[in-house]
Amino acid sequence: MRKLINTWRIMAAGLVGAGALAACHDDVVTVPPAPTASATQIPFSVFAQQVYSNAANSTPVAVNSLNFDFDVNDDPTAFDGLIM
Amino acid sequence: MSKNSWTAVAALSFPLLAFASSHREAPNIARMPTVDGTDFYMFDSYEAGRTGYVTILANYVPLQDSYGGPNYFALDPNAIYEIHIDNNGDAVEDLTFRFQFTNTLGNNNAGIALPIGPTGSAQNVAVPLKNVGPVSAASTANLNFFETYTVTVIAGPSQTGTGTPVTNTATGSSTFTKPLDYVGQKTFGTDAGYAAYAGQFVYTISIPNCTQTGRVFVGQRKEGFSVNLGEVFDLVDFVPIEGDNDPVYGNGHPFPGGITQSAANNILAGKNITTLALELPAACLKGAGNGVIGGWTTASMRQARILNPGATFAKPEVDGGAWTQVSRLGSPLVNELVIGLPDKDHFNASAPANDTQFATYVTNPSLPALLNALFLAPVNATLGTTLTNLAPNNFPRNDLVAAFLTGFKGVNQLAAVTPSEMLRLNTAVAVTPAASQSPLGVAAGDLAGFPNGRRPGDDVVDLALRVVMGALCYPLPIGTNGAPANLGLCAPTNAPVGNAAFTDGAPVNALDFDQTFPYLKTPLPGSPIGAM
Repeated sequence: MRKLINTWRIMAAGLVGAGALAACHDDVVTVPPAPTASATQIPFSVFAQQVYSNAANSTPVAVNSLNFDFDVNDDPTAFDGLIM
Repeated sequence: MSKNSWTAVAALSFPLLAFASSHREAPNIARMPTVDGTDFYMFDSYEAGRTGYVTILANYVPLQDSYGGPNYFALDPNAIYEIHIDNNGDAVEDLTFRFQFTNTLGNNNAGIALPIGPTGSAQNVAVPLKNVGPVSAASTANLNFFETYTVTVIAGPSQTGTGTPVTNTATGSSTFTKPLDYVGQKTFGTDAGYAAYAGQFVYTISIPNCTQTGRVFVGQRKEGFSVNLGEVFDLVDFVPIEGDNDPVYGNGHPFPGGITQSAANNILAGKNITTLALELPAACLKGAGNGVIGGWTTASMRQARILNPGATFAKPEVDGGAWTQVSRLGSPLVNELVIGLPDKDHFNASAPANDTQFATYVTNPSLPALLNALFLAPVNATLGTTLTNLAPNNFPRNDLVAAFLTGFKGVNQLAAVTPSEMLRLNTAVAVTPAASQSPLGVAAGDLAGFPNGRRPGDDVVDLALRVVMGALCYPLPIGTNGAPANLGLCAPTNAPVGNAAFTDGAPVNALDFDQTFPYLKTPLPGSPIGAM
């Protein structure tokens, strides 16, 4: 399980990184693919950052079949990197 | 059912569904009023001298109390508000008008500040209000809050099409201003003062790929929707059948104990709304179709919204990701009367091209069955009748499919027929002057009215009630010279009460509105109390 989560983190971090290269997320560089349905718990922090980085004209990511690990519920600074 | 047999119904209450056109109609959108589309109008302009234009009004932010200061009712700067037009019948938009808003403070976005404290040691302190003195058409210097917006025309599907900005013909600018809401008469003077102030924000616009100009206005208006809302929600605390010989709403058979028309029944008369208004040349909307256009409005937000724990005016949150649709409205009352509670927000998030997923709600509607289940036995017991069903029995309900999903052939059906929910307007039908319009539109022989588009003065509540209970199974005055004609979708025997004059008793009429763009009237002032 942990390995799968880590794999997802790495994949998502790569996507977030690609998105971050675009100074403005309105500027489409690449459209990260929507995560596939998974029985694995997905770290919410990583997922949120990926979704945030998706292009405005991309298709919203369906969430009905995803299971989240709400890993930052106790960390109000989790998204400071996006806010600042 | 005879007139007498209806008498017993007077003693009953009808637990109908929500009858606000689309005000807070779904659980999730009710949490987000700034992106809650409430009413959508689309009609051939009947303002003098505007033949050949189509007026489109999309209302948002429901149930505004005019006194809602100090912040009143700004739109969401992190959302997009769109008006979509399908002109070939494939249920995919061919044109989209996308509105995006920006909020700024006075004093170069720092906010107006006043020197507070003794001379020599005073400190500049930002004021807490959106205006610090009177505001008029001549002077807006006292404003401390500004909403501006852009309108982008997207050719093709809104997600992938090419966008080009609309511009002000007078200045060439692509940025427009939304007037401050009607704070009150001390700020703006009389209603005429506010009207003059707001009126300067009606812009003549150049529209991409269109040789003619149009007009745009966004701002607060007096709520135009008329409905007996509170009593409807309270298990319909009235008898919803016309109780006298009202020349418009009656059918010649006044129902003893039935409600009668009164402006006092319109509980929304004291509310304001925010209107996105466009007046566009029909020639630039019709495309290569048959002159019928389908329209609907949506609002979308970014999929990711991160709340800022250190919120500021400029950054209360950060938003990113794909535009995600949260509100949708074409024909009135569909999401209220037809779509089931579990799917209402799903409907709001969906596109017309995918409406087959909701087809069962139309072909086998629950509302008439609910009414039947609740009232058949009491009616029969009271009258000694042996009625077997109050609800129409034609399944699938092709009459409702025509009303909600396809339009009526020869009236408002697009060139191609893709079952989908949208408001359909035949731009070739001659307008009816305001004084001659019937609130019951096509059902009363006024072919320029609902469901051929929708005008402010069309009483869609009563029409929806009647249609759902089977009015289309009876002849309508749409034949030659207004002769009764049956649409052929069902028969009177299919709808035992389809000819009853259902009504909520809240009348509406074209003369209740302005007869010039944007038609909806000057909003109610936030003060004084007696003027609200």
